[in-house]
Amino acid sequence: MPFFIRLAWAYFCSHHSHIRVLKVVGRAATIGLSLSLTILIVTLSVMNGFERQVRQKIFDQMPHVVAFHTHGLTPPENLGVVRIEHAYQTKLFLPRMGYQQVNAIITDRVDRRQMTAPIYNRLFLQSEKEQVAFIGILRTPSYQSMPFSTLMFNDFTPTHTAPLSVLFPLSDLSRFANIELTKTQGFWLENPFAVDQFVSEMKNIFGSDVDFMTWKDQHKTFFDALKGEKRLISLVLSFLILLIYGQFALTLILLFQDKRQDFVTLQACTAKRDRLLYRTFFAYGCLNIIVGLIVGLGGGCLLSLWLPNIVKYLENVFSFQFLPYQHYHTDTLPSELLFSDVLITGLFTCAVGVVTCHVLARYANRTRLIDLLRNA
Amino acid sequence: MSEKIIFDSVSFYYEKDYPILNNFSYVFDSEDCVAITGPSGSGKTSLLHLLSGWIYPVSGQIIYSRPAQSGENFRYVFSAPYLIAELNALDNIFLDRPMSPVNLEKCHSLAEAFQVKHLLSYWPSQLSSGQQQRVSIIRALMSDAPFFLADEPTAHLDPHRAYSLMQEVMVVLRKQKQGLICVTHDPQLHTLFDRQLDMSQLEDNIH
Repeated sequence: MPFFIRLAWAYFCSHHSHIRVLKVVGRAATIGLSLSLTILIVTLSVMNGFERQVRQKIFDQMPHVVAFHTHGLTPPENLGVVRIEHAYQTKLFLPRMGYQQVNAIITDRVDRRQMTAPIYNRLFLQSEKEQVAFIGILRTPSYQSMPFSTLMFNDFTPTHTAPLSVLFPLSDLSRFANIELTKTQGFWLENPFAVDQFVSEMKNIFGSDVDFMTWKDQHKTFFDALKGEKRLISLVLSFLILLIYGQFALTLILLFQDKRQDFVTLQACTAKRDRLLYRTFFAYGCLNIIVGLIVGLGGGCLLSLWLPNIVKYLENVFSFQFLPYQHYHTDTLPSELLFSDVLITGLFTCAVGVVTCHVLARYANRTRLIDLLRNA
Repeated sequence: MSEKIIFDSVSFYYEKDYPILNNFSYVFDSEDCVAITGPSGSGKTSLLHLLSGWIYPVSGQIIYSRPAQSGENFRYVFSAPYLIAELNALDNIFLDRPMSPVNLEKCHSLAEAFQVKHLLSYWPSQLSSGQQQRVSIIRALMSDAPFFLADEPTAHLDPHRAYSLMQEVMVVLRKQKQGLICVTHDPQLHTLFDRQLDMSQLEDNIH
C-alpha cells in the first residue's frame, strides 16, 4: 500500500492529537455528511413514492388517452370507446366512470395468463350486455396464428371453447377504422408510459381527423410542479451538504495545524517529498468523505427500502396512524428509491468533496518547509 | 569519491540591518565531521537551512557537487525527534522507503548499534525522549545521502548520554563514508569532530 494512504489511514484512525477538538470536528463532519445524504435520499424516495401513488390514482381513475374529433370536443358524458387493461374490470369501470354510451372495449397486450377463458367470457357477456364491441389488440407473436373472428361486432356469441378467437394484431385494427370517433373516447393502456407510441399508432389508423390527449398532456402542470418541488428540496439539501463540506475544510485546516511537525518530518526526511503532503492530505480528506458517502448512501437506501415497514412498526409500537386514510387516502408512507437519485447524489457529493480536498491539499503542499519548521 | 558543498561568498539575512552571513566562503566535505558552534543567534541553524536548500542566499552561491534537487544530498536530524505519533518506530524509520530485505537488515543492524532493536514495534508515546531521538537518528542514517545534517541532536539528553550517542553516530557515519555537519552547544562534543566552524569568528566579516 502506498505510504501516503497508510499515513492518511493512520491519521483517520488516530487518537493522538494536540488539538483535541480535531477528532470531534472530523467525526462530526463525517456524521453530518452521512446524515445529510441519508435525509436527501429518503426525502427524494418519499417524493418519488408520492408521485408514483398520485400517478397510479390518475391511471386507475382517468383515461390514459382521450381521443376526440379535431372539429371539437364533445362533453365527457358522451364518452364512447373504452379500452381497459384488465377486461374483468369492465363491470367496475364503465358505470363508475359514467360511460353511458360505450361502443367498444379495446384490450391491448393481452396476457394469456390473466386472460383465462372465464374472464373472457365475463368480458364478452359484459360487452354483449352493454352493447359494446370488444377488440383485443395482440402484440404477442405466438398469438398471431390464432383465427380471427368477425363475429365480435354484430353477431358475437360467447363461447367457452374458443376464447382467443377475438385476438388479432394491432395492424388489423384498420379493419375497424369505421369505428365512429365522432365522440370523445377514453383509452386505458396496459403500459400508460407508452402513450406516445399508442397515439402514433392510432393516428396512423384514424388519420388526422382524430386528435389525442394523453395523461402526460393533461397533467403536465401538476407533474412539472412535483418535479420542481423535488428539484427545490434537492437544492436545499445539497446546500446542506455544501455546508458540511465547510466543516470538512475546517477539519483539514485543523489537521494541518495539528500535524505540522509530521509534515516537517515528511518534507525533511523523505526522498519523494514532491506532492507527498498533497497526497496525504487528499487521501485523508477522501477517506472521511468515502466513509460518510458509504454510510450516508447505504443508510439512505436501506431506510428508503424499509420505510413502509419502519413506519408500520412505529405505528404499532406507539399506537398512532402516520397517514390516516380518511385524510390522505393512503395507509402507507410511499417510498420509491430511484437509482438515478442515488447516482446523482453520490456523484455530486464526490465531486464537491474531491474539489474541497484538492484545494486544501494544494494549499498544504505549497507551504514551505521553513515556514512549517518555524511554527512546528 | 567524496561529495562537496562549496559556499562561495554567500551572504544571507532575514533583515537587511542584521546580516547573518556576509561573503561567507567554506567547503564542506562528505568525509569530514564538522561541528558548527557559536552563541545563540549567530546563524548556526540558518547555515544548516542554507545547506539543505530550504532557504536561499541573498547573494553568492552554494555549489553542490551532486544536484541538490535529487533530495538525496542530505538527511536531517532536528533537536526534537519529530516522530509521527501514528506510526510505530519501524514505520517512522522507513516512512516512504520500501521495506526491502536489504533495508530491513540495515535498519536492524543500526537499531542494534543504537540499542533500540527491541523497541522497533513500539509507538513513539511508549519511548523515552532519548529513545525517540535514537529512532530519528536511525531514520536519517538509513539514507545513503552524503551529508548528515544535525541541529543540536543531543540537546535533550544528559551530557554522558549525548557523548555516547554522538560517538555511535560518528562510528556509523565513518563506516558509511558520510559527512556530518552538526550544530552543537556542547563543548564536550567538540573533540569528536574533525573540524569546527565557530560562527562567532565570522562576525568579523559582518559589516
